[in-house]
Amino acid sequence: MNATISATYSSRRAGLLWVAALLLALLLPVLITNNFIIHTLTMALIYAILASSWDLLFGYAGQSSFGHAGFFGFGAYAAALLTFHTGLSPWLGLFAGGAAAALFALVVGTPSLRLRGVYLALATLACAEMLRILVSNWYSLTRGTLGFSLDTSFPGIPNDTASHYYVVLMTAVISIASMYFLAERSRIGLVLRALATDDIRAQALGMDILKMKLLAFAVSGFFAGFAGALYAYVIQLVTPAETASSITILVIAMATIGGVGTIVGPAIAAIVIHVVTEFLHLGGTVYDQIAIGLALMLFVLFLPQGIAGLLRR
Amino acid sequence: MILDVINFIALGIMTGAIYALLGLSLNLVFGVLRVINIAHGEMLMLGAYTAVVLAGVHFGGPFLSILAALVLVTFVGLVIARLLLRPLTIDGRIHEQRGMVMSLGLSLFLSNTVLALFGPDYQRVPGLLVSRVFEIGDLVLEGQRLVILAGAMLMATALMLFLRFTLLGLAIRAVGENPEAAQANGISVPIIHMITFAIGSALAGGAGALITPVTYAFPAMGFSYTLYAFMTVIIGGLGNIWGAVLAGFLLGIAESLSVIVLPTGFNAVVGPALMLLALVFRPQGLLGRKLIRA
Amino acid sequence: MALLEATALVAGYGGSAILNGLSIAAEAGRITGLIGPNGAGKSTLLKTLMGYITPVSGTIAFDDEEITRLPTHERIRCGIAYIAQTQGHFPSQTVQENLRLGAYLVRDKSVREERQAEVFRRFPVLQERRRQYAGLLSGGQLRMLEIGRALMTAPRLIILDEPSVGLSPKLVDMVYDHLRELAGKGTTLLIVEQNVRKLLAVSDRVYALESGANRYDGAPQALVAEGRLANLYLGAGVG
Repeated sequence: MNATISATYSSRRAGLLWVAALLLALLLPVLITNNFIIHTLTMALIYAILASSWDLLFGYAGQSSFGHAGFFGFGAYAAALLTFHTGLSPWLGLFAGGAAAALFALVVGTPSLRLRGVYLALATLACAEMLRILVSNWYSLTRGTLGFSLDTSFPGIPNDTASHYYVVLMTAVISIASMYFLAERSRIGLVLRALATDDIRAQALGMDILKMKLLAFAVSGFFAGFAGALYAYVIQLVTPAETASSITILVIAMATIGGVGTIVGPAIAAIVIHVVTEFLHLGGTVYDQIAIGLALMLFVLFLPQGIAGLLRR
Repeated sequence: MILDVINFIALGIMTGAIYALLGLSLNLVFGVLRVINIAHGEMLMLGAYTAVVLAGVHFGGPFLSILAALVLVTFVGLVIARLLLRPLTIDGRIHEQRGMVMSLGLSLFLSNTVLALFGPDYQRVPGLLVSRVFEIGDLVLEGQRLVILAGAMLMATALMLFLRFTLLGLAIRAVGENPEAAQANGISVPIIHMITFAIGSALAGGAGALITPVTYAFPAMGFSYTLYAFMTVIIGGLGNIWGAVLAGFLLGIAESLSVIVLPTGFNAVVGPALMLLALVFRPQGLLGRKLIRA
Repeated sequence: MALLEATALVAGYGGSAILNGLSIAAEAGRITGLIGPNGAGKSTLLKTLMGYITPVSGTIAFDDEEITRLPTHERIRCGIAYIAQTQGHFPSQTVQENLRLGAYLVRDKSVREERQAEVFRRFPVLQERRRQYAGLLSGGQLRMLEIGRALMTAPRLIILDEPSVGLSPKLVDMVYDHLRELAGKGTTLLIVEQNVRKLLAVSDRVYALESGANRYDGAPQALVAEGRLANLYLGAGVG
């Protein structure tokens, strides 16, 4: 009896905390007029979506993705190119970017179906690298390393930092919440977790492992591409750097520190890490990356479950 | 036209030698410790910067640089293995995912520390035969690249002899093949891991000092070499030293020749594409088994 | 005098304990047998004795020295040898290399050569095939290789995990003849077996395990006579 009361109390407390955080986030542009800060938060939220999408694939479905930047970049380019060439509304472009990245994820996932662990990671990396080389050199399509610039942004709202912030905030909250409920509270999530823990058992239950794997890739790819499309419409410049492994590495670092297999942990870690590194950058140093590297090593050694894992206990 | 092809092949052989070295060294680390070492390229980078530092103070020549790189990176490798990898070892095996993430952090840490210390500029280092160019008929061969080829072959041969004919080499192969049985023979798996990691890293470091006169040194150089190392290992087959050498050359030649058919810049796609093909159709690689065979 | 003594061992994998306060002892110069149904904890016990698993509580002593936390390779140095149930060799190394690995801790070259010659005398087929890859050997030849490899350190105690598994009855007899001879020369043996009949025939003392604890220990004849084995085994066939 007491246990249920305290459980309800603490989950109510957690819920209240989330609402308070959301309210604060909504009020932020009103309280802080510094564009740099708001923009940093916007980017941080985009990374949060990306980190959560990686966690969905690895932390829940157990698929090592070392090519996540590929999904991000593919979504960014797809959205930008579609809007530029067909005038597709950015509101739709977000979903188009996500869908395109989901398709790309299927393309990546299909040959990798029977691979696991290290080999799967390398296969996804190979695909991401091939994409990067493609977009870097296909000048006529992507303007290569100069980057593809977009001069339209979201119609119907002002083209400024605060507006973008709100768009990203809303979509981030919805995306991450969706991923969370998908992973933790839905049947699909159960299916994904079966994929990760025990292929044999899942097979015995009559599930088609291969289809599940592709599903995991597609869903994760969608959200990563969605984040990429957001990036394209906010920054309005897409370069091959968006497909580079440095992004994948950063995302993996964020997820590890935040706590793999929690969706929310990587999201929060992404926000914190991005904000902190941007501020350290102000000092004109490269120490933020050194710090992230160091933090990652220390976390793996002493806190492999990440911060979320620590809180669980 | 034929001449172009021959020149491309020659160039491919010389870049292939570097890939072969990378593949060899990673094969040792990957094959024995079974850890994806993302920081492998950073070991090469450290070797390259050793050459940079020595050249900067005009101390010694290219040979000394390579030697110094080997020594320094051996030491670094031992430290990394002891402090970062050993705690992740359970029952003689390193936790696969944690090892990889650990190496990620190490890669970030090392490349950015060097960036902070030396700045982002590409650094040059004088080499042994840098300005000499050899002409055999119509074939043009840069001197330094020949040095790289020779150096790579030397290191590869030394490694193979070591693995084949010494007790330590046998122990390393044993641990790579069957860590539990190795322990039952009185072999300390953690110590062998350390030694193997050190040797593999040192080879990469030596390669770094070797190639810097031609390819320059810059802090972010590590990652693309890590990639080539993995590509070579996968294509050649994990655990097979000869396979790594063969794959390295094949990759170098394929990449070089593809310039003829592919538009500019696209030839870099050959490596990842071959690796993907290998992973999907022939995961054991060209000559691979799951064991180290010298 | 017990050469090897394990007291109140609690050990297992992950969260679950497979050994629940198990105590056994192996007398010096004697053959000690361990029997029990699947899941009783026999393999877990051997792995704990060898150091592949660290016990949650309890102690292990070898020659009166505590080795509970000693790493596996150090235990070999103390004079213990271990012959695993499967995969105790290196398939891609030659027979000779396998033996050389067995002698990894033996510094003195002449001692190594002497012991290798002794192994070849004992198992001539190993000498014939010394340049062959171990992966090509038959089951019986592998068992000989593993015993030979263990003998390279001239161990005081040999722990064997189901030495008869996968072997024809004739080969089993051969293996046990060698084991009996080794014991006769003073080597202590601790043997886990499914082939209960064979084990009871050679053992000086037998432990019967069940659910991670000792259900019986004593002379093998008494175990058979009391008919308790049938209760223990439910169909493993004792006769």
